[in-house]
Amino acid sequence: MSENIHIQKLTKTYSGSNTPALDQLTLKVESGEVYGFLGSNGAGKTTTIRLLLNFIQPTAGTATILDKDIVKDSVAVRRHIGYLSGEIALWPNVTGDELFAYLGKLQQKDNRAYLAELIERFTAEPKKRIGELSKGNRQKIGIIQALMHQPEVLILDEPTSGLDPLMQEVFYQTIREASARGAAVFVSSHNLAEAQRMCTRVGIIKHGRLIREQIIRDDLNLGAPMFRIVCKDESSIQRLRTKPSSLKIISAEGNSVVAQPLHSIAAALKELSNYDIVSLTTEQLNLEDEFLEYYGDGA
Amino acid sequence: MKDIIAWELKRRRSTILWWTIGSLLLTFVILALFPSIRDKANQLNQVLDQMPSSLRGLKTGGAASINVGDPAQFLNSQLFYITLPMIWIILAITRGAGILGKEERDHTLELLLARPISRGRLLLGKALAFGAEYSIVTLVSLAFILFVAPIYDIHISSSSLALATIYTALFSLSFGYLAFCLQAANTLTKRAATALAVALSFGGYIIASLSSLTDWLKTPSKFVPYHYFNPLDILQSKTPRGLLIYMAAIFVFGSLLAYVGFRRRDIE
Repeated sequence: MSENIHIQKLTKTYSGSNTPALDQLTLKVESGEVYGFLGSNGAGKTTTIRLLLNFIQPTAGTATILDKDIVKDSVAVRRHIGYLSGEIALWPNVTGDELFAYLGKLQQKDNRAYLAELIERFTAEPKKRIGELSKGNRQKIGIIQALMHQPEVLILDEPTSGLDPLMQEVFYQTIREASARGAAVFVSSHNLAEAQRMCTRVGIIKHGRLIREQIIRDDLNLGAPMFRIVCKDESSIQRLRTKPSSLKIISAEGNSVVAQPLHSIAAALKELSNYDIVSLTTEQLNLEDEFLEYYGDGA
Repeated sequence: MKDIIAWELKRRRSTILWWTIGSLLLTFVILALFPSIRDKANQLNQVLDQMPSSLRGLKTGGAASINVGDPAQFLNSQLFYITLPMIWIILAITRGAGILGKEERDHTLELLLARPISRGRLLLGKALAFGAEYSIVTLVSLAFILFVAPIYDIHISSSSLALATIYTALFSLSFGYLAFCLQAANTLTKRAATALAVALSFGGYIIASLSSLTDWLKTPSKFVPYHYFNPLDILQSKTPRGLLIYMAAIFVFGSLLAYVGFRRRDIE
C-alpha cells in the first residue's frame, strides 16, 4: 500500500510560546487506512490538521500528502483533499446547493452524481439557507462538502459532532466506502467508541507528542477475533513472531503475543497446536483503557 | 477568480443595494437643496462668514470664505468634501477589514483555503470582490449625480463632475484598502486595522480642515491624506497631484504588504 500521508518530525511552536504545540510528530497513513488521531483538548490534534492543510506553517519537520510537500506544493495537495473542520463554519445566508456549487467550482472537480447520492444518503436539506438549519443538519452539509469530490485523502476533525446515531452509521458506511476506494482517512476524535468502530489504526497524542499507535483491526480480517497467546519459552515466541502462516501478529511483549487469524480460526488453532502454549485467550481491544492508560493520571 | 467575485456579490447583494440606496438618498437631498440655497446665497454666505473660522473650515476644507451660490463651491462644501467621503469611507473600511478579517474570525476562510487555490489568488479575488462591490455603489452614485445635478441647476461639466466623484470614491476607498491590506498581512487585528483606518481618515479630516487656522497643525497636516484631498480643485479641472501620489502609494505598498504577509502567515 502507498503512503498517502507521511509526516516526519513535524513541529509547530506558536509565536509567543516556548512550548511546541506539536513536537516532532512522525506518522504515516496508507492508502485505504482510516487513522484515528486521539487526544485531549490542546494535545495537538487540530494543530496537526491545520499544518497538513497549510493553514499554519511548520516550525520544523516535513510532511507529504500523495508525495507532495504540504508547504511547497500546497495547492496541488489540496486538489486531492477533503476537509471538515472541528466546528464547521459555513456562510449562513446561502443554501447548501449554492455552497456545493461554489466549492465545487473552486475544487475544479465536479461529481454531481456522487453529490446527489450523498445528499440523499444523509437526508440533507440543500434548498434551505444554512442559517436556518439545526447543528446536525449543518454538520451534514459540512460532511458532504468534504466528500463530494471523492478525494484521495480525507482530513476530518470531529466529523460526527451533532449527528444522530442513524446518521453516524451512514457516515461510518460512507467512510468505509471511501477507504475501500483507496482513500486515506485521517480523523481526529474525542469519541473513543467511534474511533474503535471506524478506524483501522489509532494514534494517541499528548502534549504535542505521539505517545502510542495501536492497530485496531486489519482490513484483511474485519471483525476477526484477536488472541492473546502466552508461550512457555522464548523460542516458541520467536518462531511464532517470525513464521506465522495463518496468523497476523498485532503486538508482542515478553513471552506473549496478540495475533489475529488471517484466514480462519480453525487454521489458526491447528497451527498453534505446534507450539508450546501456556494459555490462549480471546482479546478484546478496549481503546478506552488504552487511552486512560496515558491520560488517566491527569497529567 | 471570477467565482470568488460572483460569490461575494451574490452573497452581499442586499447589503450592496442598501448602501447604494443610502448613498443616492443622501446625494439627492443635497443636490435638491441647491436651488433654495442659491436663492438665499447672500444670507447664507453671511451666516457662514460669521461662523467661527474653525467650524467653517470643517465644511470648506480650510477655505477662508465660501460662496454657496456657486455650484462648484456648493458641491465641494456640501457633497464631495465631507458627505460622500463620510458614507463611502465607512463602507470601504467596514468591507475592507471584513472581507478577509471576518471570514478568518468566523473560520469560513478555511473552507476556501482547503481548496486548490493559492493564497495569492484568493487575496486577489477578495480584493477584486471588494473593489467590485464598492464600485457598484459609487458608479451608480456617479450616474445619479450626472443625471440629477443639471435638473437642480448645477451646471458643471460632466467630465468635472465625473472626475470629482471618481476621485472622491478612490480617496475613500484608499482607507478601506489600507484596512484590507493590514488585515491580510496580519500586521494588525481586524479591530486595530479598522481603528487605524478610521483615525487616518476622520482624524486626518479634522487636522487637515483646521490646519489653516492653527499654526501648529500645519506641519502634521501634511502627513494626513485629507490634506491632499481638495474636490474644489478637481471641479475646477486641476490635477490633484498630491492626491494621486498618496493613492498610488497606498495601493502599491498596501498590495505588496498584503501579498507578502498573507502568502505565508498562519491563519487564525
